[in-house]
Amino acid sequence: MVTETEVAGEATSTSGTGTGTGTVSKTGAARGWARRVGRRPGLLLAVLYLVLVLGWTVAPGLFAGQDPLFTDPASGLVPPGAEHWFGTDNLGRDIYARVVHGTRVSLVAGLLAVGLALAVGVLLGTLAGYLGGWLDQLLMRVVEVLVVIPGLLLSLAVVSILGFGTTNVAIAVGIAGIPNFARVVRAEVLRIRGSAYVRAAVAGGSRTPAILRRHVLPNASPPVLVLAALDVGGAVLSISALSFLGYGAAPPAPELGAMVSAGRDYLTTAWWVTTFPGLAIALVVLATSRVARALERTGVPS
Amino acid sequence: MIRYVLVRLGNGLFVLWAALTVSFLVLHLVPGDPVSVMLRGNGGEASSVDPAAADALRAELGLDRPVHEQYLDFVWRAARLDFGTSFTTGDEVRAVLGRSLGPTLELAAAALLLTLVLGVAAAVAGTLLPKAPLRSAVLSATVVGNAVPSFWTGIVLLQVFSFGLGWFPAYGAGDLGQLVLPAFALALPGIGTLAQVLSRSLRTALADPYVRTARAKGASRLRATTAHALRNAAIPAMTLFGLMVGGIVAGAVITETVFSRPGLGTLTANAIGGHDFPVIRALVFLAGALYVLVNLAVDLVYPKVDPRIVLRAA
Amino acid sequence: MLAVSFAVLLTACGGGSGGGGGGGAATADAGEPVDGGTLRYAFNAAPDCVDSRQRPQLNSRMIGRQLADTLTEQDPETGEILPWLATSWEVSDDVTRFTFHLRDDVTFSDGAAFDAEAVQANFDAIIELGVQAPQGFSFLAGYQETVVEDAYTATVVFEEANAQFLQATATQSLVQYSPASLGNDPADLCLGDFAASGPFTLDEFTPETSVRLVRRDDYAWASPLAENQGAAHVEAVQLDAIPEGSVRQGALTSGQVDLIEAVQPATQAQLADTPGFTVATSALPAIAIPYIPLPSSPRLRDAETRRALSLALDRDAIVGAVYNGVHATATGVLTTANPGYLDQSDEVRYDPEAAAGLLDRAGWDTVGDDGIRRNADGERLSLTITYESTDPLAEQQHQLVQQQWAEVGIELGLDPVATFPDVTIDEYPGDLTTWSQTRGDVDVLRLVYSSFDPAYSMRYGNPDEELNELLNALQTTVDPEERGAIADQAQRLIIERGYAIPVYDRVSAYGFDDGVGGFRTDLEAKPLLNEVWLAP
Repeated sequence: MVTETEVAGEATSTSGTGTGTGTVSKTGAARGWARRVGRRPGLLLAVLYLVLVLGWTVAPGLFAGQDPLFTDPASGLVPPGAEHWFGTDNLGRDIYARVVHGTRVSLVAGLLAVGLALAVGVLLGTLAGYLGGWLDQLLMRVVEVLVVIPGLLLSLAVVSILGFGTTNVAIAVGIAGIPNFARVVRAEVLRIRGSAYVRAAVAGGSRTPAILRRHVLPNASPPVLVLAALDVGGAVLSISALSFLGYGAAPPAPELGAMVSAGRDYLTTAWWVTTFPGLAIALVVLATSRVARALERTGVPS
Repeated sequence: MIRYVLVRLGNGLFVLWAALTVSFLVLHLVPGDPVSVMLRGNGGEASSVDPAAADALRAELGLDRPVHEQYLDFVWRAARLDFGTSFTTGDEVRAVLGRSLGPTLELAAAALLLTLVLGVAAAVAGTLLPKAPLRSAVLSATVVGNAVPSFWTGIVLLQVFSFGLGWFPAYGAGDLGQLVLPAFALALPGIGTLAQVLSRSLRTALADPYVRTARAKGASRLRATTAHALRNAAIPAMTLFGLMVGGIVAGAVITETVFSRPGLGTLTANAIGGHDFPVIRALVFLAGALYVLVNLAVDLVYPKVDPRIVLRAA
Repeated sequence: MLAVSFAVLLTACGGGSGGGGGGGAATADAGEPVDGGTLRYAFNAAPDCVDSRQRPQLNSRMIGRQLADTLTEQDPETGEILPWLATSWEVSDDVTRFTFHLRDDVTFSDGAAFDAEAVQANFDAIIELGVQAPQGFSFLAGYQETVVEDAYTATVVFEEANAQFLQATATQSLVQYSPASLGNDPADLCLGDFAASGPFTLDEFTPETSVRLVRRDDYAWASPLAENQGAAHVEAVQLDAIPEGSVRQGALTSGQVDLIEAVQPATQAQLADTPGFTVATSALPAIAIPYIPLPSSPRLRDAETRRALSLALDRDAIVGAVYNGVHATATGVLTTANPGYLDQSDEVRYDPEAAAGLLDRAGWDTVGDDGIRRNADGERLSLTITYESTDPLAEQQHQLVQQQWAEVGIELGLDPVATFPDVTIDEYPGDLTTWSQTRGDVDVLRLVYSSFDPAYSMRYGNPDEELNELLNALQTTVDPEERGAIADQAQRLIIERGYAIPVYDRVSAYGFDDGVGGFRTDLEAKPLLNEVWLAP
């Protein structure tokens, strides 16, 4: 992923893990969470915005009456107004509708990317942490190789191989995100492996897969899920950056980064073409990271 | 200490070799090759290639040899820091990198400096300002800086401060004025991250018994912070900083594109577009080496900052 | 990939404002020329190679024009071939022998004299370079030898008729270098390791970044297009790449550069309205940028279906919305700036009803629930275009066309790829493609619409013999009138059979401040930098 993601992910993983969140009772966490949301207007806004975006994602047609792909050259570059809330682009497409659909594309791709990074990261991290020895060494070197190759370069190459499309871009960004998860999961697994109950389970004759399933993964998951939530924003940024460079979702599907890129020549004459998609990216990232940080402090409600 | 450094360097070399191998394989999978890019006429968006001409040029570039042979040749040359010549320009890759390195280093140094200064300032302000709303305003601003896509920041900065107000030149390399906008665009996400991590550590440190003791003994709030807490909070910040160095090189791709600056970022974009594999491999090598060295340096500085840390070879 | 798309971008921007010259060249004059100073020029994309024989891209040819001269020159208004390094020439009746009488006062920058032996060495060198000089090599197809008749007379001999060769000698694909440079390594030549006879010599070159030219003080054999027959007015030219259109324009308006190429369509009007700045536009001699139905497409085998695509295309809307009205709506197979242009606006028009009628007749007569037409077999009229996604404007154009065609029941699917597959034209993916080819001669028709070249000819592997016969006749006919008549016939046939769906004529746009005088371009809209002067 691009700069910000890696940095943000790493930052929280160093300070946000190992606090034993796993021991917080689930109902208690949920209640604390509700209280927290109530007390914090910023968090409330973030949650509300994400609910709205969720609505956009599930049923974009409900929120945006106009077709995001419908071109009407005769009414190109119309400034924001009653008919077009966010104005139109040079082809006369409704920018509000494009932002609604574009946010959906970005968010789905971001979730896919984090999902992939999470799945592979958990697998690598668990194997490395629990089995240890040479396998640990080997897997961690593999992870380090992914860190060493600049994320954007890797993503660009992967898109070149797989081709365009939301899924492929998500894969490209997801691969670059694997190291974060692998490292955090490994650290968590190492911590839990040394705990009394795991040692008891081993002494009691439980087999490795059972121990992993019953003890290790449930206890390791809260900090990892927080990291995942934090990473969604970064993934959205990376995906929009790839789109900006021309390596994004397949058109005509509206994508926020591609919209900024296509509109940048109009900045002096039609500010709305780039401003709204740019804001939309920032808002999604802000909202997800706000919620993720709240989760980090209170624990994950289930 | 020496043993530690040697082990770390050995590890680093191994990882570097693995990274080069992975990138060699990945690039090999990229469809199309430089030949088709070079032979394309001015056929515009579309292209096609005369197979006979392509084969001739491929032989010229050594691309017709078996993969393993190309790989071994590549590793043997890379070991001697020889990355061959660029496919598209025929220029020596080392010379190409050398030319691009300067402007990017300049940009990265300015961005890191801005990150450090503004990040620390925001963290201190966000922890120590007398009024809670002020503190949270500062911290919120850093969060926003973190969320805004850097390509968009760059475009807006250019529009407002260069084309609009005319405070800074629109492009160019060499003088200080033109460095301000790109460096800020590149630094912005990092400023937010650094400020957040640092302010969190500061708060923790301020709650620490020894800081409370120092303050009870009469040290002012500010002195207590600078003397004890900042030093304590430096460890996570330094880790972060080490990671940022790698990130800034990647971020340069976007920033240099938006600001039309020559440098490693533009080179990366061109090399990927033009399938200039020798250049891409050398870029991977450079980024990897930088990452290994900077993080080693950061680890070596740890014990100086916090004597409780002891270095151990893995 | 980048270089090519930039070459397109360079020309994909332009417009109808400012001091545009109608027939091709742009000129701007104010006051008396002044000598001295350094002209600062902003590229859209700097060339990766300054040997214009090795690169067909416009940016390489632009630098090639400043560094080297050609045997002939082409009039930007009429397309007529004018004498330059060759003062006169004769062509044999069978169009296989071209005898050039050369100037005797020309020297290369290494001191060597330009003579018949140099000409011989230059043409031999192109053959030696082979595919590494892609255009020159194809211009010299059938080359036998160059005979040195005397010190300043050379005859180029071909195995068969080659009527397009004369115009080819006016292109930067066949520039004249000092014989001592011709043996240099192609990679070094690309980096500028050669001596030539142009008004400038290369001082510094950083591929894809910048070029610095310095004038030759003893230059005295400028192109017939130039008013300034002596040394260039400016002492040096510093050319830097500023790929972002807005930054390039910002650099101009803030006084960091004097002259920029490829003014963006989106901001061209703004620049033209800014006091103190001029936008100069000129149309390129080329094929009008078309959609070309691929012969391999099963759904586009029928000429009526292909012509329907053309009639369903609202070119004015495309030019207006995507290109902000700065390119021109296509009115024929060739652009208006091409010497062989034929006005075909009667056929190349927007008429959705006529399109629907043609589709009905072609068997696509049932419209499904999705609004897409079907034939008797229930097959949907669904087409795909595969393209590289590096040019955002081309992509917008496809998106607009997608909707225009949908209105008459044709589905167009967009398939962007990062890199094209490595194939010849007959194996090209999808049903359609776009194409661009610049050439100031009707021979461009032969190259694009015949079937001889696997990389350039759209009907390669699927020849239309009748059309081929016409196009090949262009090669054996020298008489301009006769040749023009054949070209007209070919253009009519190409539209009639739906082989091209012309969209727009490319116009290239330069922007400069009022301190720049003498700005002038050649037929390919490349500036003549030796003409430019800077007001003190």
